[in-house]
Amino acid sequence: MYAIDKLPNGVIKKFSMLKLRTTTTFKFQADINKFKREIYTEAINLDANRLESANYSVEEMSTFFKTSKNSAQIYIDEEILEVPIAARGKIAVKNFGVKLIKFAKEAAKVYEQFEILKEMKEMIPELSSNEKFNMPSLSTFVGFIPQLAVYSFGVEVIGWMVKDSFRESNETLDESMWADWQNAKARGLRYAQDFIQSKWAIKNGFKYVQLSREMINKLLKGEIKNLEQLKNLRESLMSKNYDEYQLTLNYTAFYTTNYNEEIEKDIILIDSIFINQ
Amino acid sequence: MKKNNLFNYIAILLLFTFCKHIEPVTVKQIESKEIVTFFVNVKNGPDKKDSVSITIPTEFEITLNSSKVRGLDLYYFVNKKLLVDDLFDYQVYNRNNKSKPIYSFDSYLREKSINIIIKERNHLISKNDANALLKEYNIKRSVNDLKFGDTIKLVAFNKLVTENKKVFEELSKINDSIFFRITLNKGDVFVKGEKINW
Repeated sequence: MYAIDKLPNGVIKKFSMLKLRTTTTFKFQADINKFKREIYTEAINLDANRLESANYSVEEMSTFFKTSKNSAQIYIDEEILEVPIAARGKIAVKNFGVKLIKFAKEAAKVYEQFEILKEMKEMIPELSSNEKFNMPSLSTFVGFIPQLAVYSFGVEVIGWMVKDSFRESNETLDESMWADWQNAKARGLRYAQDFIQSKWAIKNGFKYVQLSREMINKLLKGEIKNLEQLKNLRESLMSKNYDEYQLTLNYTAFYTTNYNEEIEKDIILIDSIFINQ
Repeated sequence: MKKNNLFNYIAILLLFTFCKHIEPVTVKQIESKEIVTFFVNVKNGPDKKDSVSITIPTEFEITLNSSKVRGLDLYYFVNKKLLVDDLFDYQVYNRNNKSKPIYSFDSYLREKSINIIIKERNHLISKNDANALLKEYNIKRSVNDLKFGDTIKLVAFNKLVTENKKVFEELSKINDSIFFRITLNKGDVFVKGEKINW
């Protein structure tokens, strides 16, 4: 994740959203590398509600490529997520398709030219943020690949997926989803509750629990050491006076489950506490 | 040319197949002999005055196939919505020790298998249907008199599901599912989902 808040001419800009959309032509790998660093950027400032444009340079910009009729011409459509960082009052953005450039390079070894379709993004499992964790189907694989290159392409794809790049694509998804989580929390309790319904959230052990002031106090003082103790306390408060217990649940604590290598077991980390409205 | 293509397809398919591995934890739903009960909770508010809550126990055999399991947790979804309160919305018990709900599986991770009973408390049934069932099983009580905190025992789940399939036809329209989140040593996480069959 990297913050974008300063333009090459020195002007500080606070971007709410960035969207890149351009078409270009190049012949050599060197041109592609150069292109990656010098991208014409359209910036929409949602605060000011106007379109702003600037030449913009990014060191590690990457994207994915789609060929038009002329295979030397590549259409680029890149969306960047918005991540408000309230404490600093700045906007950080991250590129969702970070690792796909690596795939493009690998495929280029087979093709000697870039010929990657936008569908590639949908094919790579867990890279899509729409919660559809589809494994690529065989027909998807072969649908856009020249017949002669099916086998070598398939091996290349699978090799790429199961090796480091696959791990990296998971990391890309994680970064992206953590960014989404920060945004969901910033929007409010209901959005945060909706967010944790996803399979990704299960994988990361997201849950929430409703708490009373008494429970929060004990939690913050360290009198409650683990989730089991918290739930035992909840059970005893509930059995004492059910109605009163229900009325005092004014807080919602979100937590995640994380593996601790030192003690070789899962630990619970409280991510955030909301005051119910 | 066509033969070559066929070979290529099979080769890719095989590569995918061999990528699969044995699951560290397997889960099997068992037809439970636990008792179905009726009760009243806050969900039976004024807008639901014609309904009563029904607790339907489901039973799962969780088999730990790997000694590398370091964490286990479950996520219960009703109609794609996560139930968060494992005291109020649902309760999980060890079949062999039902005195207290399970809030942590840590002490079970060295077992080869554990049978859990999940008492789902989120479904409603009309009072008329509930009373008809009580009458059928010759239980001389009525859900109309049920007070908050009381329960009426009906009959074992496996008996009810065999003899009164219609009770579950309505429930089957609501998709209940359960996800098990398993942590292995080194922190790898494995998620296993099961649709609950009534």
